[in-house]
This record gives sequence, structure tokens and C-alpha cells, in this order.
Amino acid sequence: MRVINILSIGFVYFVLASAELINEDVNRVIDLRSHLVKVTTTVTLRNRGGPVSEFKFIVDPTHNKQLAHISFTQADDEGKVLKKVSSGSDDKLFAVTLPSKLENDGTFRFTAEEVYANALSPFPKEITQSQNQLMVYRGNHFYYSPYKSDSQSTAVELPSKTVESFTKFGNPEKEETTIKYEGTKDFDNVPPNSQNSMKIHFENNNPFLTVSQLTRVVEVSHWGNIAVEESIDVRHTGAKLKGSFSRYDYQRMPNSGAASVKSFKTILPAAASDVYYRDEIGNISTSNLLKTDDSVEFEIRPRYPLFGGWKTFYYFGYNLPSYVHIFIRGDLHALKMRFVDHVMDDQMIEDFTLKIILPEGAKNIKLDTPYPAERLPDQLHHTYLDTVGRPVIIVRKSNLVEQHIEDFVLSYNFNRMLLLQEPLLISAAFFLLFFTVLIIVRLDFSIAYDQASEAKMRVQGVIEQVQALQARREKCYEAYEAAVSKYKASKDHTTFVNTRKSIEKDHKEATNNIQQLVMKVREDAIDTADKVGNLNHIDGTLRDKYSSMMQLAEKLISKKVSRDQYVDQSGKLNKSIDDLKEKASETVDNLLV
Amino acid sequence: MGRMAFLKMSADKQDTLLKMLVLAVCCILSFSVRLFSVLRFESVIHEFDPYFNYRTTRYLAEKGFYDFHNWFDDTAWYPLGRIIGGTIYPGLMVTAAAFYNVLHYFNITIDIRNMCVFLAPMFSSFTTIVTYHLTKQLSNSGAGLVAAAFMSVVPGYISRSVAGSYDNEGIAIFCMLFTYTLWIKSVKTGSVFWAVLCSVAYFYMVSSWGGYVFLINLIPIHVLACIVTGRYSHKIYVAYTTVYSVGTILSMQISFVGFQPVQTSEHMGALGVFGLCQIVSFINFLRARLSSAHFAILWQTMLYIVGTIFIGAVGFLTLSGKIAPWTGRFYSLLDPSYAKNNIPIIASVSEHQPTTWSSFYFDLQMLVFMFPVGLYVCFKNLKDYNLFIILYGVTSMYFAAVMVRLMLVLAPVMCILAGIGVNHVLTTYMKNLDSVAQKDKKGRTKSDNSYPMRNEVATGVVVMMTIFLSLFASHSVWVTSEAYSSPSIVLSARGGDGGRIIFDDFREAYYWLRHNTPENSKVMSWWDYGYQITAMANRTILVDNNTWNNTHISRVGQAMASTEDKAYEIMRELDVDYVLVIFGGLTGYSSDDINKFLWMVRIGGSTDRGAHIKESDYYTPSGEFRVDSEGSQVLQNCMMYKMCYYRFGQVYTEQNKPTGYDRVRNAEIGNKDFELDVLDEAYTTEHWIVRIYKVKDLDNRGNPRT
Repeated sequence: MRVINILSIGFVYFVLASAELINEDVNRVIDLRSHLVKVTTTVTLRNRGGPVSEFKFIVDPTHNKQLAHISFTQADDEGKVLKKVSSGSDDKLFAVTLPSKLENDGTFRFTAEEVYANALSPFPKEITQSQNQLMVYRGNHFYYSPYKSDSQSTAVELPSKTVESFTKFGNPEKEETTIKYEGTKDFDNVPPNSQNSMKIHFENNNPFLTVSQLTRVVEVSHWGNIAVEESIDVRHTGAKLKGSFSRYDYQRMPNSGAASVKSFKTILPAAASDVYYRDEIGNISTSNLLKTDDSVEFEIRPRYPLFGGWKTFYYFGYNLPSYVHIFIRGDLHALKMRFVDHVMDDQMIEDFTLKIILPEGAKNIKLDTPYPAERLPDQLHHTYLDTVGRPVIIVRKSNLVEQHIEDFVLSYNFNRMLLLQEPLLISAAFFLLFFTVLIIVRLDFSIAYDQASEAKMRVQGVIEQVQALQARREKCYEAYEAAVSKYKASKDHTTFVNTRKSIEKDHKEATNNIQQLVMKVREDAIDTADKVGNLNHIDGTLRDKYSSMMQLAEKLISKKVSRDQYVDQSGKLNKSIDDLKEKASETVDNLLV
Repeated sequence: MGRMAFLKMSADKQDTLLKMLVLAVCCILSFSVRLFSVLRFESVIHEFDPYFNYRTTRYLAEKGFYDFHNWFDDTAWYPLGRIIGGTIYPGLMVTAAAFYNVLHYFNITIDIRNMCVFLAPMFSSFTTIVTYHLTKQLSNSGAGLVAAAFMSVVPGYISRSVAGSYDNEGIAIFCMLFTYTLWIKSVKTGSVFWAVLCSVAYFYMVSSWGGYVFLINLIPIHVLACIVTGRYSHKIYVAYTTVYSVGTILSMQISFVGFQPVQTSEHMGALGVFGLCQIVSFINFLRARLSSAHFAILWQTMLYIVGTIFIGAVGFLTLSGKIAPWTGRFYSLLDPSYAKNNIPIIASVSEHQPTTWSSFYFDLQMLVFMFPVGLYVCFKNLKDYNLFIILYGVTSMYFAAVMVRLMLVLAPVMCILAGIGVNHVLTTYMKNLDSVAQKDKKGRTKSDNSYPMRNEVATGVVVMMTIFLSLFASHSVWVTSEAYSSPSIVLSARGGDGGRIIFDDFREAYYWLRHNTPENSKVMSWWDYGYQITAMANRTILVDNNTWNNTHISRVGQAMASTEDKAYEIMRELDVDYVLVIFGGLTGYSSDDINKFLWMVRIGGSTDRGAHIKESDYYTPSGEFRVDSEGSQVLQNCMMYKMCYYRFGQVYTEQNKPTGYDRVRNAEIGNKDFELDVLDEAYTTEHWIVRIYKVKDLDNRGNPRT
């Protein structure tokens, strides 16, 4: 394998050499302040041959296996990102396209940003609680390039002043927390593909946290909510804790457990709400949430401080309003969200899975990721009020760092009428429930014939009819009163007589019906029959009163009585009518008891 | 118009509507009053045993019934293991898993933990309904409604059925009352149909709680009482013989129960009454057919023969070991001092202590006073089935006095009888209140000379009753909120600034164990924490809350009570990797291992191998248990002391107090400066409540560690 590698690199060099590009000036910054190694290289290219449209970049073979991220930007023009094509296997060799052709003797400046994970190794591998964590970095004193370099300079940035040792190649200078390899003739006219091993042994108590596994579940609801849940396995990849963990020292000694991690910050989108933070055994109460204008800062404190070699698992989730992330044109929907979100500063995720749960009925799903990722077969997810299941899109990718926080776009077709499915389902379920109860309660499934209850039900039915008829009679009473007052106003005798006749006819009909019902009910319940009889009696009296009232009105109109007499007599009549009406309604109400 | 519609409903319908409304309100109330802990903390399983139930339920839901039934759990009782399927009452787990599966079938994806947390409140709603029906059978539906309302808030029952208290009792009370309801129904009807239903309910009861023994003794006592008082009838004969035979066969299907119903003495009463029923029926049969002279001769002969055979058989079977000897728990029921004198492990459980008077009032409040009223009403109107509730009341009263835990059995009957009593009082006086409406023609209230102040007295009684009832309600809610709604896995305290401080140390430690120790590590702790460690830390433990093996627990007690070198031997023998202790000295958490330590000493010293451990060595010469410098030297050099107080001597806990001041025992510890030879401090939680030590490996050169 190795032989092939060297061969292929040699081959590449041979091919490239004809382009005659050289590195006029190389400025390299190796940032060792976190647990990631970040190398930023600014290179000025000069073309000594014919026009070229791309240049080659080879990842330093000393740690090319640890490469987590690489990007190229134009150094002059506000960091325009350059297109790169990985040529050769394993992403170790890149062909970067220039924005325009580089003519003979033209120059071009670009910045390459590389992030390496697990490129630092603890030495000693195990430390006690009171010790500081020391790390070893092994790299290359030279910028590894297929082109010849005129001059190179390298600055190594360290987290603290404490350095155990560093290689002295080219007489480096150490100022405060920076080691500079530059200026001497060792770094001039460096031939292509030069290697010279650099080793720095330094103190680094910054959090060495690695996320071994992160599953991000995005559940889209078209009722306006997107629920996000991330389950996270974290472990401390620094020097392992040796011996005992003393809580006393940890609480009282200032420098105890310097390399351990007590808490870290996760930055959530500004619209995040209802944040929760739990693990397999319940809620974790030690966390803080700070809302700022453009984000929500979520301070996560694991149940216990993380020392070297310790690990923990937790999950947290929050809701986002969907209008921020879903774009709609007709049936076509597009979900635009972050592929991976911030977990902690200088994050390193070894294994990442993204699951997107779309609403039931989403079709023609197309996923557009910002960088290549493995798409696993779709699944179905069943939850509340689902029938056929919701489509789940699963994507996997390994070795993600902060630079991978970018948006993906997922487009799909969704008929918005399907939103009605859930309320309809609930209504149908309740309808069924009530209907069943109705059937069971209302219908008699018993085989035996129960005389008493049958009779009771018959009486019940009769009473309901009587009540209805009585209501009709009450209408007649009102009609009488209306007719009288109308007659008094219009003095139209014929109309009055006609109206009176029709009302009396109606009244009689109702009374007859009630009488028939009384006959019917007499066999089953005598007391009910008596009550109805009483009601009829009251009604009879009422009718008499009304007829005398009408006669009185006729007399008034035909001037047979004086107005004073009329007022006197009709007042008395009205009073007794009111009493009787009240009595009647009381009797009706008591029918049931 | 609405009022009219209501009035136009027939009396029956109004009655049904009102009953349903009241019952529905009771159900909702009984569910929601149990949610304090969920609202205050979170949806979490409480205490100790529920963690085991939760863990097994999860297993059942994931793997199915057969795997569950055949489950050999090698993470408990190392190195013995435990056959879970054969040593538990599976009713609770099966119920929860069945609900879980049905809901999941309809795509209602409720979490299994939430199912477990909310099962007890849900079943208490069911219990409320069953209480209504039972009381209705015994008295009338008015009493039923009052009893149901009592049942929904009675603290004695709430204490075992708050959300998260996922224990057998949560559903067992429902099963018990349900069985009783069906029993009353079958006694009333004498129908085989109801009797078979009753035995099915009995089967459910057996499958869910060991307390079924109470039930299978109470029903025979009821039958016996009926025979003695001359209330014996064919109805009772049919009901009892069916319930006993079908119920016993069904109960033997539970593998944990097995052949106990025909072998152990707890069940013999039921069998004896079953036989007696046959004899009594036979005698009745003979008496109906023989002349009285002949009958007398036959009666005497039979009595002697049967008596001899019976005593002989029982004696033989007991001697030959076919009938299991009386188990300790049962003895302690009959004789409260039995357990304390003989079995330390039973006496060490706080819920096995005798009940104090105050806790009766605390758990039942006004029911204590209304209970005799209900009894009186039942006696006044004595029926076959009333006799049952009287017997239930009296026996459970006795048992509850013996063991705090059995307050649970007493609470339902208290509710029922108090419900009957309150209903009786209220119906009696409410009628007199009605007389207000009867005015004479001049608008003056009629006065009855035989009963002066009738209306005023009635008003007084009703108002007093209302006050009592509302006091009961507020007392119950207060008790629930203050005393019974703490999950005990998460502690909370008021801080100096009035804010709430949460002590989540238990879960902190268990979670640390779960993620940062090798998967096959063996953790030694006192048995109280066994279930929690297996459920939350997922590690193997030596002893747990299923205290079936006394010698094993005793061995752990010996390790805790010995000096380091002795303990190291025991720990090597038991293959222990980690030791976990609970220590409250820093925070003032009083139920820690130092306070439980005397039980470890007693249990440790109760077997042959621990004969060298004597309780008296751990006291001062004047007989006090002290951790300060005047305490016994043996105590200050034992493992438990050292593990709890390791490096505690350097800590300031309170102002104006020396270092190493224990806030539980209120003393400055005696042995401050020592190192551990055989252990490494592996983890101590934030508030020092849980301390975990790693047992050091043997020295490479074979030198002794101490």
C-alpha cells in the first residue's frame, strides 16, 4: 500500500512538474490550542510555464489519515471558496480549480485550511488528578507541496507557555505561546515533497472531547413545528485518569483536575424553544439556558465531570417554528436546515447520522447535501395518528468538525389536504366511540321481556307527547291574548271571530289528543293519568277565562261596558290567568317525578 | 332553556347523569392528585422496588412473554443469579406491557417509562370505580359515590400509588376490591357465572401481589362466619366452592405461587372451610332425611372419626414437611414482636414496623371516626354480604396495626365503611332539611312538637359534615403533596435564598457506573440500592431488595462491618470490583448507610460465618452508637466507617464547627486521618451522598495489601 502511495505521489509529481508552478511564499500557522490541529497555509503561487487552470495540493503524508476537513479560499478576494476535486484515492490529493487561467509569470495567492482530528497524542498516556495534561504533536517542518518553494515560514501556536520540548530544526524562536520556524536558510528553496519531522511536547489542558456518535433527528410537522433531537455519545480522549478521583481535591484544590471537563456550551438556533436535556435515566438538572438575540446558548453540564477516558451519553431536543425552515411553492416543499449543528466549540464528531422524518404522504423526496454523505435506505416511522407511516430519510457521515456546519436542502411534494387526515381520524374515533355507546345504551339486547320497564318506557313516551301538546296549548293561550289586543286596536270584528275560531279549533285538537293519551296511560300509571287529568282541568278553566276575556273585549268594542269597567274586570281576569298558567307549567314539570 | 332540558329528563336519566358526573370527577381527581411528583420533578420511577419492576417491564416489552418467563438474570445476586420469571408476581409487568403493546398497535408511541409511571394513577381511577360498585352492592349508590370520593383521595392509598410508584400494590388494590365486588355479587346471586368471574379476578390478584393471602383467608372467614351465625345457604355454598376450586387451580398457574395453595399453612384455612362446606351441606342433607335420634348418633360418631383423621393428617404432613412451616412474614403479622426478635432482615425494613396512632390519623383522618359509624350501620342492617365488609374492616384493622405497609389494605375498607356511614348520616338529616319547604298557608314554618328544632339540627349536622369532608379533602391533598410525592431518587431542599436546590447524586453516581466501569463489574452495596443499581447503572450486584438469601446479605454485612483486611478477604471471595456507600454527613441526608449500619452489623452477625461480629462491640461502653472520638474503636476502624468518612476529616461542613463535622449525627467524627489500603476512591458525587470505591487488585508480588 505504502509503495503504491509513494509511487502514485511520484507519478503525480512527474506530471505536475511540466506545469512549472512554484510556491513563491508560504506562510503556515499550525494551531495546537484545542484538541484539533488546525493548519492554515497561505501560499503565493507563481507560474513559470504555460497557462494553467488548476493547481495540485497534497495532504501532508505524516498525518493525512487524520484529515477531517480541508478547504481552499482565494487569499486576496474576500475569501472566495475555490472548487476542489479529489483526485486519487482517500482524499489525499486535490486538484483545485483557479478562478481564471494563470498566465506565464502570473501569481495567485490562496489559503488552505486543514483540520486534523486525533493528531495529538497524550504523553504520558495516564495522569493523576493533580497533573497537567501533556500532548505530543508530530508534524513536518516543511509545507508539503508538489512544487518547489522559494521561502517558507511556520508558526506553531500553543495553548500555554509550558512546553516540555520542541524540535530545533532551523533554529526556531519561541515567544510566549508561539514557536516560529522561519527566516533561516533551511526554509529557503525547499525542494518539492520535502519532509522533516517536527515534534512538539506541550501542555494542553483544553477540553479533549470527542463525540463518538451523534444522531440528529429532525421531525417535520406541517402544523408549524420542527422538532429536533440529538443523542450524543461523548468521551474524553485526552490522557486517561490514573488512580483515584478525589472529590475533596476536585472541590478544594485550585488546579485539581485541570484537564477534566465540567461543562461546555452548545449553541442552538435563535428560534429554538422548549429545550430539554436528558439521558437514559431521566432529566439532567444541571444546565443553563441563555437566550441572546441571534442564538440560544445552552450550557451543558454532564452529570459528572469528564476525566480522561470517561464517557457519557445524553440527548437534548428543542422545537423550531417551521416557517423559518420550510419554503413552499404549490405542492412542492423545501426544507432547508443545518446538516449538522453546533455541539461544542472545536467539535469533532466521529460518526454522524441524520434522520429526517417527513409528514405522512410526502412524495418525490430529493436530498441535496452540502458535501457528499452516505444515504441509507429510507424507513417508515409510526407515531401518533399515523396510518401508513412517515417517510424517514437517513444520511450518515463520519468525521465532522465545525467547518461542516452547513445547510442541506430537502425537497418533497406534499398535498396540504392531507393535513386534515389527523383531525378527521380523531373525530371518527370519537364518533365511533359515542355511536357504540349509543347503540349499547339505547337498544335493548335482552332476550327476556320485562313488563315493568316496558310500561315505564311507555309512560315516558306518553309524558313526552303530553309535554309537546301542552306546549302547543300554551301557544294557543298566547294567540288568544294576541288576538284580543289586535282586536282592540283594529276593532275588526270579522277577523277577530275568524282568528278566534281557528285558535279554538287548534286548542280543541290538542286537548283531544291529550285526552286520548290519558286513556292510554291509565293502564300503566294511574298517578300520571291523574296528573294529566289535573292539567286538563286547569286548561279547561283557562279556556273559560280566555273566552270571558274575549267576550269582555267584544263588549268593550260594542260599547256595552265602559272603559273603566273593562280595565277593572280584565285586570282580575289577567291575574287569575297568570296564576293558572303558572300552575299548569308546574304540573307539567312534575309529570316526570 | 338548559335548565328546562335538564328538568325534563326523567328521574332515572338525571340519576345516571349525576352518578356518571360524580364518578368521572372522582376518577379525574384520583388521577391528577397523584401527579405532584411529576410536576415538581419529572416523570421518573420512584424509590427502590419500582426500579426492578420497571426494568423487568422493559425487558418484557422488548423481548416478549416467553423470554421474560425464562429469564435468568445474572446481574443480580452474583454469583447466584436469579430466575426472574419464577420469583416474581408478573401481574404488574404484564399489565403495563399489555397496555404498552396495545397503544403501540394503534401507533400511540408512548414511552415504556411513562407507561410505568402513570400506571398506578390510572389504576387508582379504576379502583375508584370499583369502590363505587362494591359499596353499591353493600349499601346503596349514594354510599358508593361517597366511598368512591373518599377512595380517590385517601392518603393511605395514595402513598402507594402516586405517579412513579410503580409497584405491585398500585394495581393489587384494584384487583382486591374487584375480587371482593364479584364475591359479594356471587354471594348475593349464588350464580356460578359470577363466582367464576370472581375466581378470574382472584387469579389476577394472585398474579400481582403476595397480599392475595389476605384475600384467600378473608373469604373463607366470611363463609365460616356465615356458617356459625346460621346464615349458611346454598348461595354461599355455590359461590365458595366455585371460587375456591377454580381460583386455586388458576392461582397455581403463577410459577412463583406453584403448589403453595395446597401445601403451606397460610392457605390451609381456605381448604379447611372448603371441606367444612361439604360437611355442613352433607349434614343438612342428612338432617333433612333422618329422624333426629338417628341423626344424633351419626353426628357424634362422625365427629370423632373425622376429628381424629384430620388432626392426624395435618400432623403427619407438617412433620413430613409437606406442609411448609409458617413463614417469618406471616408470623410477624400475628405476633408483632416475632420478627424483631428472630429475623433481623424483616425487622430492618421500615415499612414492616408497627403502625403508630398518629400515622392512622395522618393516613385516614376523618375516616377513623366515620369508620365505626359505617360499622354500626352495617350491623344495624345485617345481611350476608354486610358481614363480609365487617370482617374485612376488623381483620384489616388488626393487620394494619401490626405493619405500616398494610395500611394500604385498611384504607379501602375505611373508605367503604366511612362512605356508608357518611351517606347514612347525610340521608337521615337531609330529609329533615326538606321540611323547610313545607310551609303552612300563612307562610310560617310548621313546627313539629315531637322533634323541636328539627330543621336547625339537620342544618347543623349537614354543615358540620360538609366542613369535615372539606377538611378531609384538603388534608389529603396536603399529605399527598408533602409526604408522598417525593421520588426519593431526586432530593430537593430549600436553599438559603429560598430557591430550590436539587440533589441528584444518586443518578449521578449510577450514571457514572453505567458509563465508566467495565460492563461485567460487580458492585457491592447494601441491599437497599440493589434494584436501583441494576436498573440505572446496569451493573452486576451482590444483593438486592429481593432479600431471599439471608446468608449472602449477611456476608455483605460482614464485609461492611469488618476491618479492612478482613473485608478485603470477603470482597475477594465475592469477586467485588466496586463498593458503593451512601453518606449523608455533608448534606444532612439522614437515611444513609451509617444510620443503617447497625442493621448490617445485626444481619452480618446473624449467621455462623459472622459470629465474630457482635453488635455490642459497635457501641460505647454506655451503650450508645457514636461516631465521634468517644465512639467504639471497632466502629471507627470498620470498612463502612472508613468508606463513608474517607477524607471527610478535612472538610468544613458548617460554620463555627471543626472539620469533619457530621451534619446527620451532629458530631465531629472521631477517626479523621486515615488512608485506605485496599480501596481506591473511584467516584464521589457532588454532594458526597454516594461514594464509590474500587477494590484494588492483589499486589503483584503477593504482598498483603494492608
